[in-house]
Amino acid sequence: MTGEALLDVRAVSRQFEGFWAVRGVSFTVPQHQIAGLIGPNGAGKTTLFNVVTRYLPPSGGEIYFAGTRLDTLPTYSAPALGLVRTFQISRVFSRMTVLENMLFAAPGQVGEGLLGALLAPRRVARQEKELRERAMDLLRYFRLDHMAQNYAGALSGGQRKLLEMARALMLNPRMLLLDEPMAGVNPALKEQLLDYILDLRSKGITFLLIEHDIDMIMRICDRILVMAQGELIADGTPDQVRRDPRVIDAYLGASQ
Amino acid sequence: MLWEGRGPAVLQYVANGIVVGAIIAVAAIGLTLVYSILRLTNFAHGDFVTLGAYTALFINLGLGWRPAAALPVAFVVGAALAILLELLVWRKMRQMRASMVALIVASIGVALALRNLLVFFYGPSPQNFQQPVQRATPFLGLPVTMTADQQFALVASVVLVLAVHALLRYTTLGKTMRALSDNTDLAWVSGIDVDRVVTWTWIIGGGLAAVGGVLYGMTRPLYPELGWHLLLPLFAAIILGGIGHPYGAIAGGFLIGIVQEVSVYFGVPVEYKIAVGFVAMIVALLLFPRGLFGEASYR
Amino acid sequence: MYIINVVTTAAVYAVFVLGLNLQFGYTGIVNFGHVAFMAIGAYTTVLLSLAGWPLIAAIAAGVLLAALASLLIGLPALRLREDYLAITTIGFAEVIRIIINNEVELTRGPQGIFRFPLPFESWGLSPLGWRVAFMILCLLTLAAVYLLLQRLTNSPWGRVLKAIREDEDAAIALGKNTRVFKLWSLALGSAIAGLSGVLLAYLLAYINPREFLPLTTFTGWMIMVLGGAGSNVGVMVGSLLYFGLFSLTRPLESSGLVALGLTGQQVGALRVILIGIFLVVLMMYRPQGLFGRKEELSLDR
Repeated sequence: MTGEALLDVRAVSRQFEGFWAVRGVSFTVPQHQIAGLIGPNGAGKTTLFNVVTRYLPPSGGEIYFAGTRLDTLPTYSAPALGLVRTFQISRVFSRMTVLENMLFAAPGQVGEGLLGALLAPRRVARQEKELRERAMDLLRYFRLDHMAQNYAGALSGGQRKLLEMARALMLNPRMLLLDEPMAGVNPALKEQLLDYILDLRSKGITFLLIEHDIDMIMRICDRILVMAQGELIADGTPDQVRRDPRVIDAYLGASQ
Repeated sequence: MLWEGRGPAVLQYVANGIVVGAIIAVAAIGLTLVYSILRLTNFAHGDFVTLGAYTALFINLGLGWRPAAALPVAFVVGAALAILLELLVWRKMRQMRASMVALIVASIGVALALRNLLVFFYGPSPQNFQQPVQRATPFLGLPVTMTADQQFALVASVVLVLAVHALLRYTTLGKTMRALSDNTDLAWVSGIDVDRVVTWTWIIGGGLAAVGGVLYGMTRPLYPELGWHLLLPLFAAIILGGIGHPYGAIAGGFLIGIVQEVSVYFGVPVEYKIAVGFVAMIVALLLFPRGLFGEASYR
Repeated sequence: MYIINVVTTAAVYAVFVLGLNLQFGYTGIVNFGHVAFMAIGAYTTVLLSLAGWPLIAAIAAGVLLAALASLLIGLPALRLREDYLAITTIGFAEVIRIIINNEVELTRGPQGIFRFPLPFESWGLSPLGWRVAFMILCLLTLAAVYLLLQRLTNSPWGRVLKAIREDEDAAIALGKNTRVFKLWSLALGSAIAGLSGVLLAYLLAYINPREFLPLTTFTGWMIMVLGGAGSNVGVMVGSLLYFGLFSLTRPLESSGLVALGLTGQQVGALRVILIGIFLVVLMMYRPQGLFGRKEELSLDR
């Protein structure tokens, strides 16, 4: 199930004051793939994520998304190209309602410009109405629509994860980078999340997930990347990775 | 020697700068320690300096002592007030997990109250210590002149800086403080006597600031805003040196003092001196976001 | 006559603090140099009108210049962490004041400027009539600014500001160019401060650098946190409360306290001491102020 490379990571490195958190990592993620990124703690997975999503600049290497060079653009440009990330600990805006969280994320809002907000109230109102409909559709899909008017701060941890995903979808992403989506989530919700990811993939979205829950990863991912100590040590199907001696080494080594 | 007291003019400005810088350095140590250990950007710190100066004035006018003799008294007053505020205000605000901005606003409130308390009792006009007029004499055989008081202030500052250095390097308390200022979260958890360290931090912070005020008063006229006007150079000093680094604060203090005084030599009008320090700080922040010794000033 | 003065002053400062509230209450920008823009607005307008500019044009120029000046500090400094930003903005404001104080040829320095064109001059009003007319002008200005801000903060633009206040990194991760939004917020808030400066100049019919000390910014912060940062209504109520109480203590100044042998200076100092203590108590016991909602607690992170 491969398509063209959507995400293209070339020899990316990142150091912090002499310590190389990520070193020479290269891989591509083709369209419609669900890729997983695993590795023992401290392997550099989150740092790699942060560099790929432009939260941090790389110390070396290049990143391309859908053919456009990403690492030289400002951080906020990633979503416009179609690349959106979520966070390990959901960063929803607690002091805004669920619906406001959704509306906030939508791109291309006339009302976000100072002039637009002042001089074009009817266009803004019309756009708000359209966005609201879209937001409610997404909230319904995630079964959060009944909470639309509640403050996001009142949601449970699991609901926040869903909201973060729903919010990310408002941006019409081509690819979602999920940072430990299953972390701290109860088993029932885990199954739901799995279903959502698969369904969304069938609708055309590509995924790259960081996860510690090996079971989940093996079930859902077409392909797995393994990192240890900042380097990419394995890259293949779940079966290949499961049997790779270097991977076993890395995990056993790390647990000592 | 022939060239005693008659060196190139710029050296005199440098010398003045070193004296000012030493005083700033002494006051800055406390500010940076309080920031790094207690996570409080204390806008009232300048007014502790003022408090120290006026304490010395009180003793000077009331008992006729020389200002130098007032140093220990000022230290005690500064330390005592700092601890009082800790017990009344800061402790509670830490417990309620007040935001950084709330702490800043509260410290501004303290600053305003303290400063105006001094205005209330002493009025807003400048005053001087009552003591015999001093001549500026050559210092250590160098081609610059300083009054006896200036020389004393410089020497006293150096002694204090060395004392703080000794404290930080050689005592358990000092090592604990350094550990806390480097890596707060970890150190807090590892079972040290939190209250004791906090108390000593305030003692040193408040006491040194007050002492700095006395030394200041020995070199310049006193007025209620003096500490507030020093606050910007103080912040500049600790930002330059990297907030939380006592040695950086010392270096920053001297640097700011010298830059400010020497700028006058190069033609900057005297009233703009503070602006010079401020501009130096902005430039430093932009060029060295981590200060000269390192700590992020960006989020 | 008395009440007219109180209401007018409260209105002028309310405008000032509304600008601050946009910056801090809505966007989370810690600006302790707000008074600088009040000064820039005041001085620019007065000097231009003295140079012959029509009043409306002079006022517009003052407001615009205040906004532009804010970009001068905003462009380099907005990325700074809160405490650094606080220090930087205070420093900036002090530099502005020092410049105004010392460029005597331009600004008449510490002496200040006494006679300059005022609004309604050609209307031939009595002194009382002028005061009433000016009060109405201030109230109308306040209403206009308030409505403008309400419209903006309830718009998608305002929504982005609120998100920035709460979690700027998350906002960036969702594709928003937060830097631009913060700059707009800063500029607009400073323009409003400039407008309040113009009004202050007309209220006092006299400007000098000592009107633009950091204490004014701190008073503004006090009014803002008293009313509840983030609440425009709170700002207006807070301003009225503050100046109302202020004026109520005036009679005390002249009779009561003087009887105790206090000078005017000491009374002034006492007032600031109370402001200081009040700020501390407020931060300790009710940081959300009068109208700040608990969920929307801007000062509590």
